[in-house]
Amino acid sequence: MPVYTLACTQPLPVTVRKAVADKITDVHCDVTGAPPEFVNVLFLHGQRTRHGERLAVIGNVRSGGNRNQELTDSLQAAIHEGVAQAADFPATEVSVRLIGFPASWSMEGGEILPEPGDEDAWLNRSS
Amino acid sequence: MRKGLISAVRGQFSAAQQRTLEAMVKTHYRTHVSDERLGVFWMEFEPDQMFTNYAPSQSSIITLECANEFPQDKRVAMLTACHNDWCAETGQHPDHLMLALLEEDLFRAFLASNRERLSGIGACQFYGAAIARALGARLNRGIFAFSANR
Repeated sequence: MPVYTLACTQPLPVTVRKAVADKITDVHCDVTGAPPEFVNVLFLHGQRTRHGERLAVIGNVRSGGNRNQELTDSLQAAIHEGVAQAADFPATEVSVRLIGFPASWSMEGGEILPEPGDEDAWLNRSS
Repeated sequence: MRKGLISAVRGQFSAAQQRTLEAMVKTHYRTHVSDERLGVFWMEFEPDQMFTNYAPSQSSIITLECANEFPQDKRVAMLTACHNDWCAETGQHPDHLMLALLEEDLFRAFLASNRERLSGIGACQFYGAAIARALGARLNRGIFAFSANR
């Protein structure tokens, strides 16, 4: 968590997929302070999107902790801008929607995920 | 019927492993969550369509549905049991396995979000192809599996 899934109308070249995945990881970590180990980016090709966007992004992200509405709005805007830039698409051809998941409902590395902002102990759990 | 979705890289596991893993998840679901039937669907990604931590991913993501207001201690027991047996069966690094047990309202929103980003025709094509492929996989491999691509 987070898990970002991107529905693409046409398959993106692998170099573009990597650039978009890297950008999402950068932005998510910069805005939320989450570690990159958490960030998953998945591409679904050949999808017809509702408003004809070339890329429709859904981000399943942890909610609660230090994430208020302002931070969530900032994250959504930054992901939107970053994905459009990395894919070289106009921003109007990209959509982004974030869905908040309680951290305590998920497990990674054999541990229940920490609340946003409390990642240090989780990351240092095996060291 | 409750639903579960397992996202993984295509070819990462053998068909026999997938059947074993699915049976294990269902057994733990019955033990820790509910006697309700759990339908499990595998969404398979090409290796260069899934990334984690800046690199092509070998992660598996398991998302399961449960009733609203589900007790957290039972959730932890379910996720821990699945985590331990999954890693033992696959040899996967623990950091490469993410599991979530979502209450039904959020699980519905999770599924609906994908449908809502597609056009009417797009949704028909996506789910039509997914159902056809899932039925084919059920005949050939004993699991309901479909490609992330249309």
